[in-house]
Amino acid sequence: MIDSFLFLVKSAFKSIFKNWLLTIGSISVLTICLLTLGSSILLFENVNLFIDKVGDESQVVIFLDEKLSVDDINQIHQQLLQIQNIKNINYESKEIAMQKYLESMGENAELFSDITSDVLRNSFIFNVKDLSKFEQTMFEIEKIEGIARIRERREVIERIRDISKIVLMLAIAIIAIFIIISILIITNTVKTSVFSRRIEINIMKYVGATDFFVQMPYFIEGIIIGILAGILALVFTYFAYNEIFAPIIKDFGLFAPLSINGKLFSFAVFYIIAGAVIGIVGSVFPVKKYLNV
Amino acid sequence: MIVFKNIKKIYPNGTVALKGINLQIDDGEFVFITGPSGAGKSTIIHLLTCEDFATEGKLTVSGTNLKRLSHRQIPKYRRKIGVVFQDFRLIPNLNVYDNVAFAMRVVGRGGRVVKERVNTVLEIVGLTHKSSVFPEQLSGGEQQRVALARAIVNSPEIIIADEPTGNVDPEMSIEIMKLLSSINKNGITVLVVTHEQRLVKAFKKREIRLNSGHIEFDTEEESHRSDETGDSQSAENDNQPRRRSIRYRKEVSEDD
Repeated sequence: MIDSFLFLVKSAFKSIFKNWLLTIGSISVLTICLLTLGSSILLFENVNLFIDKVGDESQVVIFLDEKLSVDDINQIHQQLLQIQNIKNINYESKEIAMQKYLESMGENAELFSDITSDVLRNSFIFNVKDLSKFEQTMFEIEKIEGIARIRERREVIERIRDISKIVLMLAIAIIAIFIIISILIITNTVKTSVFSRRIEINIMKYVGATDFFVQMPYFIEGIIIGILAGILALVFTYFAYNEIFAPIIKDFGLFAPLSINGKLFSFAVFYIIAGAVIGIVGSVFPVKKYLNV
Repeated sequence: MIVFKNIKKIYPNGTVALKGINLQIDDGEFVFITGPSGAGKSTIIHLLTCEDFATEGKLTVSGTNLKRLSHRQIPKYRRKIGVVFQDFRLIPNLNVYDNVAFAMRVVGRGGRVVKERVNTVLEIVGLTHKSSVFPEQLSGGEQQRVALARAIVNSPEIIIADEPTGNVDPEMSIEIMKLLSSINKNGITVLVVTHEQRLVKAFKKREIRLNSGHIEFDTEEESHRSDETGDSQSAENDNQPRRRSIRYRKEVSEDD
């Protein structure tokens, strides 16, 4: 059993070294494919992180009717507390709002000294926890009586979400194209390998080797190509992300980019499995043709 | 025992390769299958190696109906057969030893068993001294002996040799046939497909001559007839001291 396994592994390595140029080609394309896959995941995660940050900074302000009593305001506060998708609820009276406004004017505050706080309204300020449920949450808030106006940055959030969707769709399309290209190139590599070993396959079949035994070296070849591409993609991802992508985000000061260091193991597993699966799929078809002996 | 019972083979393009073949080959027999190109010799080999299946009729080998073998059972069945080709089909980048050992390794055998068995068969074919030589360094005759060693290394019940002397010189052809004959003496059934009447005459074994998909003659049947009519000279000339089982050759009426 062990002898057979070693024989198969040895056959696979022999084939890899014999067709080394094609093997390098396969590994390169598969590495690019996996890199695209990993980059898309990282990009998507970072966009989500950015959306969360925008959400945190995008406070929703509800302005209350002028005629509301203190009890009415307390009641609205209670109703807000019962809505689960909002956090950091703060009450801001029109006096405090005026004070903040004047502070924000700085030296020009004097120009507004004649204006009283009566031009403003009492308000509640809060954040939405899960932005994907933003509209549903707003619908619940709109049902509360005594609200004069709601100010929120729904458009910004929706725009970011749209961009995120487009990025995801583009990533999926690019990944699909690269997966197909990778499979085709691996298929060609294995096809060349199978063709150069067709006598061996023919003899194997004549002496009673099973289809599984005949196919195994090529599966192993596909897996080896996949694993090597996975390792390369992991190394490239680590350095490209930490040395190029993350510093750019930091320089723009948009938000703190996702840390990849804690996710390296998951990435390694993902890359190697994805590489091996693509490798196996690419090696299945060329051998089939020669099995019908 | 190999039994062809009314075997017909019609290829998808309409070519009728075998037109109702009936024959029986006993265990341990040595048989020449002869005939011109297109007679159906290769088809018989393909049917016996399960590369193809009969369109009609029943072909059994050691009691196994080949048509009933599932795709998964075919490899196991093929381990009972050793095939020798005209073009040797040796793996160029493996030396003599590894070419022979290859046949054992691919059926899952390994270790000391392979070493012992390969050395034994190389001794049988007289190539022990060339075990580390590569095929291109060997003569045609030597290459065919390696192919023969590979065919017998898994101890098959049947050896099928398809024009085994087609690519070797006349002297070496005799040597190859002697080797096949000695393998046959160990109880292995040997089927040799050949064009060379010279060899058929020299070895005086059973000859089944095919023509246009049917059996033109079968010397075994002739010898059986001679036995029945008391023609002892014919029997003496036949140096096969075995089988006189009942044979039948019922050509299907439409083929005649």
